[in-house]
Amino acid sequence: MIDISFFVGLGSATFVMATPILFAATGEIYGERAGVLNLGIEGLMAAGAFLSLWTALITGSLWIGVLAAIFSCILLTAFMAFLVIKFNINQIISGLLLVMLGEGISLFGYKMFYSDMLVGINTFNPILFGQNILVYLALISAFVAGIILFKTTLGLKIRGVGENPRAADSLGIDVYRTRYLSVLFGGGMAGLAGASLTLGTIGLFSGGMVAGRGWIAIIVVILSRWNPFIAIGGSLLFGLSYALGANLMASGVPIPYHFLLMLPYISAMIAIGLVFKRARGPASLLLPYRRE
Amino acid sequence: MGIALGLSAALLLLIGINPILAFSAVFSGSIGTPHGISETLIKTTPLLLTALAFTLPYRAGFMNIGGEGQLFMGALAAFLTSVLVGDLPSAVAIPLIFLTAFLAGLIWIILPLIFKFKAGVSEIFITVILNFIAILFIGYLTVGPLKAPGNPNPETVSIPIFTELPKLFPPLRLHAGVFIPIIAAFLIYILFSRTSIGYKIRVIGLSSRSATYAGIKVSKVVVIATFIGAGLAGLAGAGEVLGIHHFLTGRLPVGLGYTGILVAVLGRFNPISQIPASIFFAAWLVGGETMQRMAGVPYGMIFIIISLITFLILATERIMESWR
Repeated sequence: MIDISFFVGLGSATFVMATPILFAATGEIYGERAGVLNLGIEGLMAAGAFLSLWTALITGSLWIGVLAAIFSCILLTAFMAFLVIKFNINQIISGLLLVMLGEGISLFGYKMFYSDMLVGINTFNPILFGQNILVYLALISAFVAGIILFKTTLGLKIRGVGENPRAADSLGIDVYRTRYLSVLFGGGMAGLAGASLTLGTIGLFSGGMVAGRGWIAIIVVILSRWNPFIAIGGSLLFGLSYALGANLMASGVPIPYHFLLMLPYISAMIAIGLVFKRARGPASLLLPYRRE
Repeated sequence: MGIALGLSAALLLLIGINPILAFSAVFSGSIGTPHGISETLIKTTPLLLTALAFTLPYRAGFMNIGGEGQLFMGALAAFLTSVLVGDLPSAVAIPLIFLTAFLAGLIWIILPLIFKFKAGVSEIFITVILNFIAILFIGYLTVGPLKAPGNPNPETVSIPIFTELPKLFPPLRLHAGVFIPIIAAFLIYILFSRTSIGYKIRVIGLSSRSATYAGIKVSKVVVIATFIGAGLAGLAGAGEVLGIHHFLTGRLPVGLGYTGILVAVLGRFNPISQIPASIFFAAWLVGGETMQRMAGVPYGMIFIIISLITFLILATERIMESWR
């Protein structure tokens, strides 16, 4: 039924659902600020979600699971980043390939190692206000990422490389290195996002569980105008739309669940239509850089 | 390709599976038997159509990532039309069904076009979002209003037999629909090389700005190219319903639209080269099912292999270019 406890539950679930989106969006902002679009987040999150859970089950440590997701997603991103930055391969097509590679890894691993076990894992315990540590980690990392991006020399370098790589190069900034590090950071954060999807929620993996969150994270990046502080709000907005669908389903409202699952996608379209026109990305986003 | 196979083989060895056994299962399942060849050609049909559905808009600078959703909507339209046409002769009914499927795919790309031209929103996001919505919508219909009574699966009733595509070599599932994408590929090749609209598409693809200076109405040409592309993805959905399943299912193979994009990439956005490229990927997809059955290697491995192959082919091309 819909009563006070429904809204309390909804508020709590909003933060849980926003966490993976916020991790991924924060990381993606860095890559895009440096001029590289990583469209592969959806696949990275799928790989990270599976690998974190599987590693945590084997080792018995949630944190080792989280680290495994981060490192494997950095590795996968490195593969793409190399082709994009070194060989100028189209960033959009590379991103789609990365989606397929990541989803392939999660489906393969799931069937190979996990589907027979069908066991869950005790997830991270609530530490404050009923939320687990990953929720706070996501909020803190977005906040710190924002400070680094706008208040430090490192942030200035990253933004410079994304706005005008030639000028940045002439100032002695290593464009390639900055781009690699920014994109790899984004990949690691996508892995963390995947880990928070399994180890921060129900402790189970199922095929298709990422359900567009990777794409939504990239949309959040645009809506927040490449600003991690605003991305906190954007992620909570979409966290709400995922939570609303799930909680309405649990409350037994007579709406077919397929339509409830459409909520995030429909809200994404509305939000993007309202805000997109005014959004202007880093000037050299999608453009390869060649030293002369 | 050798490197991709090597990497995959190493991955298989790492988890204790004999890669030779796995790859020979892929080979025998896809092109080793008449049944395998038939299945491969069946799989080629939606792959080639969705590849063309990506290619045509891509050449005009529009990224249609929505082939998947357009395929699902085409399948829905094909099912509804074939149930509703009544007692028309097959020769009239089947073209009519394909026409509505084409229109359904086309309708599914209108929103991304409006977003792009009216609000400047990148079509990538809207087409991807519409894929999710289309799949959920078909999922709803096949467990809800269109569900066949008494059937435990998310499936509709069967379409009338006279709207099924004829089998070429019964009992093999190979159906007459396999010719559609091949004809489409040649028509698009002619469109690119012999018609004024094809010429305009190529100019826009090279530089949208110089096309404007040359007096080409860019948005109109992009819309036409995108409509034809999306319609072709709709045809792919009709082929799945009329040729293979003979009903609408909530379990249409997901991922055909995305794999079609890889076919387009591997075929260098040239409609004719996409014919062998689609057969190549179809063989992997079909062989993957055999590999899962015979060697116990999960199907997901195929997606790892084909994305690695595409990645490495792209990289190799670039390396060769830089040596020249």
